[in-house]
Amino acid sequence: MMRLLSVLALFFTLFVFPVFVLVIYSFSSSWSFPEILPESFDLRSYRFLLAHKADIGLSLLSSCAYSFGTIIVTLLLTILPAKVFARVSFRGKHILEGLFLAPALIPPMAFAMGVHYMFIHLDIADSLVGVILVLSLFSYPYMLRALTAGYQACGEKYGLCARNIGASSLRILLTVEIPLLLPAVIAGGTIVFLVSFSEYFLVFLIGGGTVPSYSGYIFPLLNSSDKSVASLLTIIFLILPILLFITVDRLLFAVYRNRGLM
Amino acid sequence: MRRTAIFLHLLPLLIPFVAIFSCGLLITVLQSFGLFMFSYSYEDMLFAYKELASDDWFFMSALFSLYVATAASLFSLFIGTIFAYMVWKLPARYHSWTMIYKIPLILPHIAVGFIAFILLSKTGVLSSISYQTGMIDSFESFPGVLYSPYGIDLIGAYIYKETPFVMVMVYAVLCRFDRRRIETAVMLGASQLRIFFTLILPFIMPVLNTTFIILFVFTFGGFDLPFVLGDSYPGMLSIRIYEYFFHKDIVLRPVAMAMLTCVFLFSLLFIVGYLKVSTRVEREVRKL
Repeated sequence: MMRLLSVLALFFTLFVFPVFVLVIYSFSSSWSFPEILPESFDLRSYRFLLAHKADIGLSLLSSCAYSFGTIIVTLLLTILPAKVFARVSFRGKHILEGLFLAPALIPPMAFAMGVHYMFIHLDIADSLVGVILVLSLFSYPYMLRALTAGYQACGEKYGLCARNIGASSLRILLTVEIPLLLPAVIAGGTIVFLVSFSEYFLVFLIGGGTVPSYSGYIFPLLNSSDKSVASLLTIIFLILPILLFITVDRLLFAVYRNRGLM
Repeated sequence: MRRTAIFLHLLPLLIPFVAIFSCGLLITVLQSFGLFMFSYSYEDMLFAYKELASDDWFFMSALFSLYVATAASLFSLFIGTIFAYMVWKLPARYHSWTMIYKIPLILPHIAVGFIAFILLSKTGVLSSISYQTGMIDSFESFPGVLYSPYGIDLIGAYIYKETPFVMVMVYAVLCRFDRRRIETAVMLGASQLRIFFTLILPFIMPVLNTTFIILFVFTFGGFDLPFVLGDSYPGMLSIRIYEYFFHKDIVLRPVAMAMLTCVFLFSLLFIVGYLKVSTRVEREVRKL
């Protein structure tokens, strides 16, 4: 018990304390050296949030839109290759698997700046499509890894049974494989969402300021002198994904229970 | 599955991989030689590389990036491994209680940069705490970690962001470790340190190697964090690239692309070289 408490205390100080400081900052009206707590509190930053709710809402919505778009595109790109990598062995498989992980390892700037030139000529720079494409190419390795592991875990016998009683490949994919893969899709999708939602540079480069994004919205505020507002907006960066994860978790639980799977 | 079927299954990924990722890289490399540069043409194809070769700032930035990436990844790896081991040694029913360590995984790099800024500045929160506890007598004696030439703010922010990542990776591997081996070692009289170094460490070595590669390359080429922290001379290479790409005459863009090409080649060499060395070392260890 003592050990649990000391580990928890350590993690609180290192990982939660900084967020705690943000929360205090968001309520402060002035906080200067050397006070441990702000001299006075007010709700200025919350009034700012209300006053700018249209802009903030739009940027959050846009960020969520391209992040979910990226999840869907990465899913489409990787679902068939993941099956091959999990179930078939062929020559050059390991090299190809390593090669396909490259976008997550090589610094994204290196390919994104070339892609920027391409997208200008294809007329999809400064567009939502361009942003989703570049984010997908940067984040699909996480989805690929998750789905490959998912396919390995669920085995191919279920699909074989379905085929024996005459199901088509598409039907097997939709009614057997995807439901079995759902936990893997959610694991991969969570990382793809976080990567896309938090990315600043790629969205700024390819979106060119015309695609609104939350990271782009808060960036200038982070360097402003009003730390109270910046703190509150930073907290949203933490709360929104957590709320989303909880919702997905609840939803999944409800779906499984309704189908009698749990 | 037949060869054509395998190929068809791989196509949905292969096409965008070649058309967007590989072509993007190719254009970056070509533009560094002054080709495909809109309507500009360059007499000397190596002009960008010559420019870099005579640019001391570029070398300083490259060294600085190397230093920040090495320090941040090593510290994160060290701390993350110890923390993951601490969690794993707790009774299993308490493991989920420690989930709070995942907070920095959710926070974006720009948010972590902002947190570093409010905590570490001379009149920031840590400075106030040091003053109240009597460790310093005015904010001037608080060490200037922000914008320091040693990149302490950057390294600290990266450690905060990357330690939980190491913990997740190492913890996942530790969960596959057979605890009975530890019981046996204890019965044979092994000390805690000995258990860690002869049983645990070799077991998690492969994941430590992969994690180190990921963290190192990521930090080396990372942009968001140094951009928020607004760094000082010499600064990270990614910031120099950004400056050349956006704030200088477009004629100079090949220089940015040449730096990117160097970053790309270095990352590639690092990954391949590191994997070669680490597999060889592992094989040697296994022989022993």
